[in-house]
Amino acid sequence: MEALIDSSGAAAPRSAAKPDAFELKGVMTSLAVLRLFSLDLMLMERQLRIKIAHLPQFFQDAPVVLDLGGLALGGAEVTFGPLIRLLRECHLVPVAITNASEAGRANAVAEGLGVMPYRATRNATRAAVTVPRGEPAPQAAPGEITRVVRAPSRTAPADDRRTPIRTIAVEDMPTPAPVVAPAPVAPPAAPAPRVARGARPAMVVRQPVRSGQVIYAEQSDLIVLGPVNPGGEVIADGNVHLYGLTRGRVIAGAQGYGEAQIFCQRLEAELVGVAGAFMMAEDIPAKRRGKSARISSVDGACRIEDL
Amino acid sequence: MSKVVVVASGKGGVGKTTTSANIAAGLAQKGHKTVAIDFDVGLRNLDLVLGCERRVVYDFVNVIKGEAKLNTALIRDKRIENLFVLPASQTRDKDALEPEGVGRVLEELKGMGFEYIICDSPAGIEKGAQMAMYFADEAIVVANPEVSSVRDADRVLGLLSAKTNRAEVGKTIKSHLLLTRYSPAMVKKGEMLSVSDVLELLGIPLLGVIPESKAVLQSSNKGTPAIMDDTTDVAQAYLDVVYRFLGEEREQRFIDEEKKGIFRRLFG
Repeated sequence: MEALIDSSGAAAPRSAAKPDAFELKGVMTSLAVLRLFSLDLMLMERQLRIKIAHLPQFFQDAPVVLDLGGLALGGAEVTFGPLIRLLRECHLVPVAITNASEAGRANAVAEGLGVMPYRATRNATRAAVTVPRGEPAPQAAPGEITRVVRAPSRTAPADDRRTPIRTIAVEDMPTPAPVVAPAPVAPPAAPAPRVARGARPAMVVRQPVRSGQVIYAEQSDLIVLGPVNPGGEVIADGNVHLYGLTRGRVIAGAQGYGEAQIFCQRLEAELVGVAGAFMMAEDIPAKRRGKSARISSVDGACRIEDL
Repeated sequence: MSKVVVVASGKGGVGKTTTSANIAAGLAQKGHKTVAIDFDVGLRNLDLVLGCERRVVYDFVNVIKGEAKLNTALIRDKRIENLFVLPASQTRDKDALEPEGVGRVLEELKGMGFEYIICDSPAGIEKGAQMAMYFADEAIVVANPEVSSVRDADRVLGLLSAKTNRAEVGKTIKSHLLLTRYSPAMVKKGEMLSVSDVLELLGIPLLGVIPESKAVLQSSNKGTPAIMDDTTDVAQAYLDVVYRFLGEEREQRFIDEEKKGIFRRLFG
């Protein structure tokens, strides 16, 4: 602000051009999420200090988002004042809440916290069709792409119910467009898009996907360079790109992302599915077999087109 | 430098034990100190194929359990120098195999100067098969030119890249394909998968093709590995496999139907 009021009196040349006071940008960044399980502030402070002692630089003045989904009433019972003070004393900067009930959200907003749309993380329910059988895929185990930093486990007591803080997870969460002060009235938390487009790089699988292997690209696109053999299964919450001969099962938009598509160089699949719509091998028209294809979901049914 | 080689297939009856016996015999004939271990606990077979069933006193499980010394359990082949067999137990069940014990025995064999340790895997993908592959450096995956066998081989290749010691430390297991019971005549008629069909699906290098032959059955019953009678095509095929396994270039044979000369067509 001071830069605009030039005390020397000399007219700043750019002031004539009425420079913009700000630039509004949407950025993707990583934020620590503090998932609360208890409101026992003393217990929380003790455990928080132990965790911070392990990674002091990491937590110094770090903005944190409070996930209230682990509390019984979704945060309705939280008195935010003391909680915020406690966190500030620990050099954490609470900026927003997420996954809260209506009442919890109102409480938080009244205390100057922002509201973040809640996005399902690795604990979220998977689509019913993706029951991984047998051994998980080795080269790209589900969860590998979810960058969850577990707090040092040695300090965490085994009993979760007595632990107010179970994990401090660093996640790629889309940050709402920044505002100068904590949002006085945040927009109502609209259901976040299930797949944050561009939030995560696509998972790339170079090895052949063999019978019995299941590859799941959580919250991202999946690129498979080799073949998908019969009995193999590739699943993504985003799009699936297949460069080899595809004879196994392919599912895109596994969590219901309707815009997801399958791009395939040579389609011989046992089953294809997009956002809950499925097509078995016998339903795939003969003229599409062995050719390149693009598969999308239209009105709840799979549609196969030329690539 | 010892090499642990697993012979696996997933599906039963495709020729794992025959392959283990012949490759072990072939490597030993070439002067490499070799041991073949039967991992099929409860269904002892390898000793029969290698013709030493009457000499089994102690077995692999006895050694794992510390009930016998490795040296006393190992059976030295009377015909081929450098060839040893560690038979499976006929009476125990496969739970007797546990990674620690298996690893200890393999280390001891390495210490005894064995160059090749051939692990004859049981069928299936259960514990016995997983133990056989767990410590492997290389794998010979045996398949018949038939859809279900190839599918199972694919499954086994997936397990080799996931559930083995090497996979756990981020290394790969070099896998070779051995196609057994191959009949070019049937392939020609479209009744059997061709070599290229199988290779396209499995995507691993071809170690060799063993033709369908009565000689395999006869040699099993006699307890003499087929490779020892080098007049048969099976012996020739296995010899090629052994040479290729040792790194020599050998042209693939037995893939195309043999052209019968006019003489053989008249009299053959």
